Amino acid sequence: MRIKALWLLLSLPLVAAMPSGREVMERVVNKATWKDMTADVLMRISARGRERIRKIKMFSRKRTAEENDTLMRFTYPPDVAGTAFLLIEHSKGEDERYLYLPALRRIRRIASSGKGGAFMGSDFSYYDIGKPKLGDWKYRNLGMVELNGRKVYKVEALPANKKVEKETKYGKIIHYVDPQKWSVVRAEYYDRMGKLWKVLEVRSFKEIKGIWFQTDLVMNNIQSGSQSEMKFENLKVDQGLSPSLFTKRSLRR
Amino acid sequence: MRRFIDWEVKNPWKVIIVLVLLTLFFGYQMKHLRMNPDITAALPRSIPAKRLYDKMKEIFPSKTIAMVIYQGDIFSVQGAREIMELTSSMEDFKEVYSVMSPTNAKIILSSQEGIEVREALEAPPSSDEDVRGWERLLSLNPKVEKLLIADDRRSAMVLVFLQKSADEDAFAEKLLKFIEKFNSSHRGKLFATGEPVINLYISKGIAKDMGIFFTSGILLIFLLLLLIFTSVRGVLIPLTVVLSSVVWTLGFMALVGRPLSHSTEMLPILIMAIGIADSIHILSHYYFKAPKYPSPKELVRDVMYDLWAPVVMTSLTTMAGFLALNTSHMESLEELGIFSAFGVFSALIWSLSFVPSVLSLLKLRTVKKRRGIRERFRRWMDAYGRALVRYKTAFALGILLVLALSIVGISRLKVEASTIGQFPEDNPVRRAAEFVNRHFAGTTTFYVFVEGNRDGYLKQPSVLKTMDLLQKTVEKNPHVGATQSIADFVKLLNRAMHNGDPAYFRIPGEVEEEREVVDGRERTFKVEGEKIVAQLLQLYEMSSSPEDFANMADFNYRNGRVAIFVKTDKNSVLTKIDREISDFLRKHPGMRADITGMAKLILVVRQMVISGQFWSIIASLVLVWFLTTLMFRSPVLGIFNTVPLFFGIFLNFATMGILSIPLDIQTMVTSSLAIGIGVDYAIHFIHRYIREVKGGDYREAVKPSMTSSGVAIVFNSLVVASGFMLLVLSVFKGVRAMGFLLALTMITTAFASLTILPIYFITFRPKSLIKASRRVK
Repeated sequence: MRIKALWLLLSLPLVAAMPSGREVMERVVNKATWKDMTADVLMRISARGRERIRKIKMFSRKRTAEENDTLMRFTYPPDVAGTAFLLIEHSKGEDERYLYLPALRRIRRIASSGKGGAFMGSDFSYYDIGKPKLGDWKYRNLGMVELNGRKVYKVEALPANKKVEKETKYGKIIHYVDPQKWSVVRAEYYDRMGKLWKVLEVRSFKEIKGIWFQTDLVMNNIQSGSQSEMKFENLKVDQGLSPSLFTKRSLRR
Repeated sequence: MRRFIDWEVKNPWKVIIVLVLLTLFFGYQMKHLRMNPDITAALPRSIPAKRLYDKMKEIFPSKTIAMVIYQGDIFSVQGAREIMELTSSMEDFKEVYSVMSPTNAKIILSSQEGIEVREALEAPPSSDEDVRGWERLLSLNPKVEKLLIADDRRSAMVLVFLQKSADEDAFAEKLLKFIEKFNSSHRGKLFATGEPVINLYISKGIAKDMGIFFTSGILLIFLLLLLIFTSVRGVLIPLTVVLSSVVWTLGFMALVGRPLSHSTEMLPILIMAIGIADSIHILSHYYFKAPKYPSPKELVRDVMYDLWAPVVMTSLTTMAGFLALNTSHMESLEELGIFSAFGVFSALIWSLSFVPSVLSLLKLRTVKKRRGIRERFRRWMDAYGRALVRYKTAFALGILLVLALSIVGISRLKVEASTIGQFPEDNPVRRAAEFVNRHFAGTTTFYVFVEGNRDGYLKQPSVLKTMDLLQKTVEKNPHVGATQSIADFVKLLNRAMHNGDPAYFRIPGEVEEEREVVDGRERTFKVEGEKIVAQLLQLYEMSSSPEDFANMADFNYRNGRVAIFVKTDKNSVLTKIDREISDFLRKHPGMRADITGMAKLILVVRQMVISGQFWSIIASLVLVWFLTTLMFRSPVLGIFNTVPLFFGIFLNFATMGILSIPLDIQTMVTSSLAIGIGVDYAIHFIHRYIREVKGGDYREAVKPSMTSSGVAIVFNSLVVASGFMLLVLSVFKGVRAMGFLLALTMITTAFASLTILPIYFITFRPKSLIKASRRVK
């Protein structure tokens, strides 16, 4: 009897401490992280019974805590095979982006003002795949719900200001976060009129060194009926990639 | 029928209760009535151009575009700032997906080491220098400049793309309010056009028309009835009949889920004008016979015995004329035909059930009939009949002369299909559209839809070159304001990848010789053009938003389209451009392409108006002939019934030619409706004449026919014509023209029935009339 009471007492703070929406998303975004990463990425876009496939070999490293270098080599389809894209992030000032076109054997630095919009013509926007800026959103934990037999947090995100709303074109996002993995397992994106627009489903994960990586993301565009999938294969982390990989010279291979 | 009449006179309350319940039911349904301003909805899906159009819209789910035009000193610090502000305000609307304006348009810049895709104006300018810089950047993308900057550089266009789920009417409403506010506080002035705005005006026009039609229709009928009957029942009973018929029809439309369009909006007037005739007919007869009867029930029974046959027959022929519109293959006209036939049918039911039921409940009252008007009419018709018999040659020659003159008018008849032309010249939507046509690329669009047979079809240099050549070819036509395709992007990117060298502002060849510098030495290498194109497009995808050309090529570059903006929707110009495009496509069979777009649909509508007009006239004439043949049990008499209709149709087209009223999707309805309604006059006259000609004296039969059915015919045609004249109050030009033409045709068919028929009868003395008269008891 006494033991039971004690147990109750001990577990009480745990129950009471339902994390806030912001706390949940912080844990998702700032999971213990990696130094470098490689993967084979498959991007599949399908609409009206047709599909387009792109295959990319991806290399990425953390140059500093805030800045990543990323090299993407396209391997499929054949007409763009060999094109390579290098992104060097700068937390202060503009990111550097270089593209190598093997057909012209030329490297060009490309500068682009407006980001946002669709990522490579897919249903993912640059915002969907980038690291979310927590300050851009007002989060609210709507509590635990059950999703595919698992208890997950349902977190509502509202744009913190008009600018975010205009740039992302979202009026609301609902994230479903698995507290075991601290990863988003599903997200619903609503347009600015509050109508459901896109639904993200994460179909598979891979655990490396205690970190759960999303390895199969499917975005369904409810309004247009199209679907995009991003699949990560041969995901490896911390292999000690050489910094020389992330230079203009290596674009030509 | 007689048994039904006996029954309803005995059970009037049962009839009334059933009618009231049905009316409540249909009235409740009216809540769900929608409006549909979409002009292309008139086209059947079976038309190839429409099918292609729908398919293209599926592949390029291009968002609805509203156009906001900024008028003012655009290339000044203040002008540029105001356009920036406008761009941002447009993005503030929740319905807006994206905005393309001269300030945020994407410009591709190139230099030795890189390519930059940037917005034309990234920060509000603070000096004239900044403004000049912006102007220079815009000129680097001449296609965009042409689309967004007016030819006199004194107005700018902002294109507003709407989110798929947006309520377009609500957005247009908000946009117009915003513009009003903006104009009162800024130096530049705004106005708007584009699909959502035009549709809002059409919807508003329909709603306004419905209000006007209802009130003026009720008022007119009220006055007419008062004039004819001078009694409460004489006003209220027919009014109840027509209003309930309108309620039934609109409720039925809502029930089967059909919206009000600017064709079907004339239903209330149509039904009121036609439906009133039967109850007037019954009531006149009722008052005429009333003095001889002791009780209302017997009176009503006998009145109905006399009249049910002509009432049913004229209603059936009218319905037949309307249903002939089904041969037009245009959805909104078919709807007009079906629902107006339903309205006439409703009025028939009400006239046969409600009118006798109520009358048999009311106490007999022999009103002191104001015989003044009727008597005067009778005298006039008597004089007319006599004149006709005496001067029949002069009359006949006069009619032939009118017909001869009509040929001149008909030769000037024009066919035009135009959406914007529906609005009067001073309407803001029309003014805006005309402004855009004058100063910008134009509002009417052809699309050459390129349908590839494999993914990446559009990346082939041969296909891109053909698209480019097509654009250059049609741009020679002065009415073409601009063209657009993925080929433009490829050219811009090719130039940018070659350090802005103007020699590379072209589509790469099948095999290109490119240069590279290795270890300080230049050398050349060969590469397939298709690879270059693929990688240039990849470059754009990686550097900016590929949505920029989502409306020119689909996501796997299988299908594409060339947009051709035309500065007018004049059918003759569109026909010429259409021919230029199809000539080009025939000469370049290597590119799998076909023509569609709103401009093409306009031409298809035009073609359908011509053939639809022809077939619906034939169909309604045949139907009317068939029904009257059955009715008079003689095919020859059936033909007599159609003669006045030919005269009416002839004059209708002549008037259109003389007054330059174009034959279009609206006015083409006139003939079929006029045949359905106008045949009643011939039926009434022949019906009477047969009875009068019994003795075999063709001349003597004219006079009594004139004073009895002649009076009724003149009276009826004036009532119906004045009803149709109410359509002249419409917002839409087509509806106005139709009201006028319908009214005119009522008069001409009535005139022809009372002139051509008697002249023919007394001149040729057809035997069939005598035969028919023997069948009459």
